[in-house]
Amino acid sequence: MTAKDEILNGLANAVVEGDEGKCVEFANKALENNIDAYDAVINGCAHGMSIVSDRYEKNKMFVPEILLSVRAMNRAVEVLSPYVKAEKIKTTGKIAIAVVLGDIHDIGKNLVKLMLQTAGLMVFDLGKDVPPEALQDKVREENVDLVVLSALMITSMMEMKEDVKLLKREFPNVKIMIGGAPVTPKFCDSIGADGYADNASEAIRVAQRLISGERGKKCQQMI
Amino acid sequence: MSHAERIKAAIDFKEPDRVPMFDSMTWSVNMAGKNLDLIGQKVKDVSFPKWIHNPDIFVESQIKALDRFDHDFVHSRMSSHILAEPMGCMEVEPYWGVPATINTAINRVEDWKTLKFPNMDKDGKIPTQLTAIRMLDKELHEKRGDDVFITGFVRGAFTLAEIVLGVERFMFSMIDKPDETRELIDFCNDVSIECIKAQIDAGADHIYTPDPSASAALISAKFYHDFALPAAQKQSAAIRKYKDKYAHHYHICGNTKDRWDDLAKIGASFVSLDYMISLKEAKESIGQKVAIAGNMPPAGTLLLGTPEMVEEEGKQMIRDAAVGGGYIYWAGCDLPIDCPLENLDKFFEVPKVYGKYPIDL
Repeated sequence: MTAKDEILNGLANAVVEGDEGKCVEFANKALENNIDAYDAVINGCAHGMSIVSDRYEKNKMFVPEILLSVRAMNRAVEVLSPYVKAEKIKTTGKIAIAVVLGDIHDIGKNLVKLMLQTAGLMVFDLGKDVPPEALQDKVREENVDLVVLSALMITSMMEMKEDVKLLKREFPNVKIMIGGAPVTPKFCDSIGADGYADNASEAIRVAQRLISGERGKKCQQMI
Repeated sequence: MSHAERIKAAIDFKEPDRVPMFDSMTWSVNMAGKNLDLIGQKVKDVSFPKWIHNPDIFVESQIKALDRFDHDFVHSRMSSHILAEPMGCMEVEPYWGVPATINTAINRVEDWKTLKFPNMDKDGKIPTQLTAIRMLDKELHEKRGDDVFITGFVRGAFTLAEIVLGVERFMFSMIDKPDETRELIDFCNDVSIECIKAQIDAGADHIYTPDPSASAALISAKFYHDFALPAAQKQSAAIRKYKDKYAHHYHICGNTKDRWDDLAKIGASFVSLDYMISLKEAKESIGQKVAIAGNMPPAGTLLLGTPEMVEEEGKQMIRDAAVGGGYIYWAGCDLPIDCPLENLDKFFEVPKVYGKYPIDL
């Protein structure tokens, strides 16, 4: 293992362990050893978060531990980000993310947003309890490729149906991905959304597939 | 058998005349005014806020639901945040949907000492819920001589603590400040127990305490064991001491298989489980130690499915869990308020047709 690999692995592990001190230490080591800052963010921090996401999917990590990882990762990113060269940030797609109208449970949305950002996607966060007009405005202003909608409650889940209808009517090319505790692939198909993700790491895969223009699949076939 | 005899037999692991059924909860808003003719439409005769602020309308609709479906429990919950709101969370009441909190009551766990201990006769919707329970008690228990279980409601103390502090802060505080977190949960428990006693005094037979924040979607089995289990045990003991061994329904959302051993230790009369778990597996495991309830998918089947799907899945639930008693028929979680009437009719018909003991399916 090269010195560079050791530092990047150390950074990734520090993120997984949620260790703020080690995150700062390895971020500084990366800079001292002339590792490109963007490289450290993507192959250290983001790599660590993808391990975290995998473990959440397998019920080996839970939300308190994930939040520690996020907090630790943010410390490393604070150290690294002043050194990231602007041209390095290649955005492969624009995403608007929101919790639907009538729902204020945003922890899942925040995790998905973070995962999408660490995967190099540009994410506009509209927050929680978001009316359909605000979604439409953002899609229009930013020329968004993908809208990601979250709902935790069965009651608010029905808002997704309205959002999809209105968005598809005005922006037929925009893709829509949905998720949240009560949401199922079957529901996704029934309201005409383009993709469904069961958790944050799956959200990255589905988002990338949708942005790259994969068509013709039903939500139920995407998982 | 009467409603109460049926429930008690099931909880005691004896076979009643048929599988008992939990109630239609918030879906009963569709029984208010002319709402039944307006299912699936945007404009209603009785809005959700009107329903929960008018005990006359509320109680009439719950009794209509009971008369139509003949479930063995009847519900009184006005809001999931019956305690969080008077403790300091701001609540919004959508035209058609359950009320939601839009902020937290405190920003730091150690500020739990500043939380308000609500007055059960005056604050928020508690008095309205107590009035509804008294009216249900008078109409059903006294006038009709029906021993149907009137169900009161508070949140599990762990979940109430999460709501007043906010989910992210609460998750951090369990790691960074475990002692203060336990103090907050304990305070929430004391508030909930005071409210439970008021509801039992008003005529409730039974208290429903959902604890969704203690689900595996958020916390590990270890955190459940260290924080949520002691709180649930304290709440459950208080309910059973004040009423009787049939009075506590503990509910938890999500996949809970990794904490079934702990769920069996709560002391609840029965534990209801969400749709993500196999009822058959639950029956063979936790279901040997404590009565269980559940678990038709609320959205997948009851909201979006057909009466045929409801019938098939309902029969399967009975097949998987009803033999030997110890089982109460219900959905995996609260019923979506937009479930079609024909699905609900079928849902509550299944135990009457296929749930007669001895089970032969």
